[in-house]
Amino acid sequence: MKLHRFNEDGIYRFEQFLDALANDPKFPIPTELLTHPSCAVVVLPGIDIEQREFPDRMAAAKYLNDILNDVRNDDVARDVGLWAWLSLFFFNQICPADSEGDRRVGAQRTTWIPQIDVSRRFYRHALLGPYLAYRAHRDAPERGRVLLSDPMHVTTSEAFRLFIETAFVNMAGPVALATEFYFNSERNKLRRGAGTKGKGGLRRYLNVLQQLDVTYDLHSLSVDGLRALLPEEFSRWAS
Amino acid sequence: MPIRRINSTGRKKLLREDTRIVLTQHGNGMSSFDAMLNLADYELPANANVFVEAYRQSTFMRFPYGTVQSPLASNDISRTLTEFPTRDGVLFRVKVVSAGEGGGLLLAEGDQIPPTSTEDREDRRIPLLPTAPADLGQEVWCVEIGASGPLLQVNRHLQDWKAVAGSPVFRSLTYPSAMREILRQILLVDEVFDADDESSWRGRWLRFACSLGAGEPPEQDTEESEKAEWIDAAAKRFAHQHQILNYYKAHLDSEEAQ
Repeated sequence: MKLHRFNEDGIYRFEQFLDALANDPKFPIPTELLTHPSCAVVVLPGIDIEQREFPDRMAAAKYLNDILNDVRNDDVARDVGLWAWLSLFFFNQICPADSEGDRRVGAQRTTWIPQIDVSRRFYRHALLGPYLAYRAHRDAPERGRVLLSDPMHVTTSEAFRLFIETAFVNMAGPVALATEFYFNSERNKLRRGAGTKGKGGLRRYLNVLQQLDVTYDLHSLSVDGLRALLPEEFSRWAS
Repeated sequence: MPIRRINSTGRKKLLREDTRIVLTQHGNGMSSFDAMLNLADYELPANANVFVEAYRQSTFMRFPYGTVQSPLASNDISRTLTEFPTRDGVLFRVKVVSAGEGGGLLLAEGDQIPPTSTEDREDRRIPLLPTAPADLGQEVWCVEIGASGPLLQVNRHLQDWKAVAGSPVFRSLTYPSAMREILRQILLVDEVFDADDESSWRGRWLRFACSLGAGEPPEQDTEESEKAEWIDAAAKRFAHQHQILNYYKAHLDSEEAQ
């Protein structure tokens, strides 16, 4: 299928579907909207997009980054119609049915249709958020593992939220060190205890970064340089 | 409450007049930038590195921009804002960073620098309330308050949102309400009361309200009702100074006459 974007009618019909699904969790996915000429237009220059099964948000973000690189002269990150269309295209993965065949869309429409101008909501979109985080580390994606290790339908990762709400999401050293500290690469998930609110936890790590950011240009620091500046409480993660 | 960044490190604040960013739009729609930096009066090490950063929400680009002695971009490095196909909402930051042994220290910084374009008229005022298009459903406007300050969002589906946002009639209907909302956020939600913090958008707004004759901002332990009264007085003084009702009535009269 060619990559499309929804026009206003398409977004409206998609919203109607989400409302219907909220009332009837078995409501069928209206895949016909994806190519209906009154709802969607092809994104130039004509890009093929495939249904793929992604093991986690990182894999999805990589795929989206690869295909969206070919979109020219368009502010992809601010294209509401495009991201709403992608939500429907990958709906089975970002809103999977449970064993009863029910889907839970929740009350947050921004998970499916991005609110790109709202600073604390734009990243909550199930696909746009991972895409932005991936682009920030596309030169070395493994660095950002701690941000994007969740399955496609999990959009509430605290590690992801803590970073993307700050400028630290773009900084190689702080993100790489967070992955080293808090990410278990064998189990592809956060280490036990990473999410604690106390000493050495992720939230505390972000607080310390805020303090260091006043004194240092954190972009200029290497991972080892940053590690050397951290208080003792983080040493337990070093191993 | 937001995290307060207390400057106890001796880093210097680069003034807006010394950090000017000019955008040039090219035929392919992309923009590139030039930074006019005057760092001579800040007593910074000549070999300290200079960086220019462009950002919008989580999208970010960083460019080395020479040294304090010679704050110029290398010809080898593109200054095209490839991550920002439109300039809407893009702001800039200039950093001066120590070099050599002990490198990485932030020596000076200028933040939230709005770019001008080669087509724009000269205007170096700090926009207290910049405007930007947004998808607002059936709302015409709203105030969005982010980490870098308030933004007056205007529905992008208006035919010419820039013309609407710039029209005096629109301003007369929106600005007093927007001002109340922003001051309520600063005093009642964020609980910031320091009008002297020049590096903070909250400080700039409080100073602006003071300049209208509203008096010094209330203090932290002031009763909430008194804080609300101060906000109300500031908005009323703003409306009075700009004769907003009279302007709006004149507009209605001129419409009736047509």
